[in-house]
Amino acid sequence: MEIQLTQIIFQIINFGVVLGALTYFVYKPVLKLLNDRREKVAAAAAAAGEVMQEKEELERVREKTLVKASQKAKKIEDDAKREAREQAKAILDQAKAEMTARENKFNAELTKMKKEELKKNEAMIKQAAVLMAEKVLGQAIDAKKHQKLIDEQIDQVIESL
Amino acid sequence: MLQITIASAVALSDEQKKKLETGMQKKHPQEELSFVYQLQPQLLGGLSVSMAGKLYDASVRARLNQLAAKL
Repeated sequence: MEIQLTQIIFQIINFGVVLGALTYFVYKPVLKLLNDRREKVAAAAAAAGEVMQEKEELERVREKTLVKASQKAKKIEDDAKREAREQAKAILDQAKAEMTARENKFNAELTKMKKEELKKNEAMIKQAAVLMAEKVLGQAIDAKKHQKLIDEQIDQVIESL
Repeated sequence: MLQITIASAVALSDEQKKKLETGMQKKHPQEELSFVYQLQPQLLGGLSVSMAGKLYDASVRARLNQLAAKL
């Protein structure tokens, strides 16, 4: 078999044309497609990374807000407790003061009543003493003593009037 | 005429009356005196004599009243 040079050259040229056509119509578009895909994937990964960062940032902000809210709630609770304690103390103090005032008033009235009773009793005792003396004197002074008493007083009467 | 009122728990004897009247007359020689005797058993004893607004109360009652006032 003879090797035909023209056919070889023709085949080479053919091959070259096919290669060229393949390179132009297939290889370059496919490469471009692959590159575009690669770029898209990279962009998506970058976007995902940003989203993750944003998520972490939001998470931090959420934590911070929770802590602040918790602190505020605690402060409100403490303030409310303190105010309640102070109010209770004020009410208690007022009640004690009222009780003391009432006690003092009661004691004063009691003392007054005792004094009045004592005065009444004194008056009654005086009256009783005078009545007793009256009775005793009435019985003790006989006719002789009466006359003696009058005799003694006549001179004094004359001197005085 | 000046009236003298003499109150006593028991009646004065005549001698006592005379003594009193004589004494008073000597003390007030210029005056014409009239004597009124009252029996007041509530005086308990002694005399109570009043004259022209003046009172001399030496009765037992008066002394009891003084005692009551001091108590």
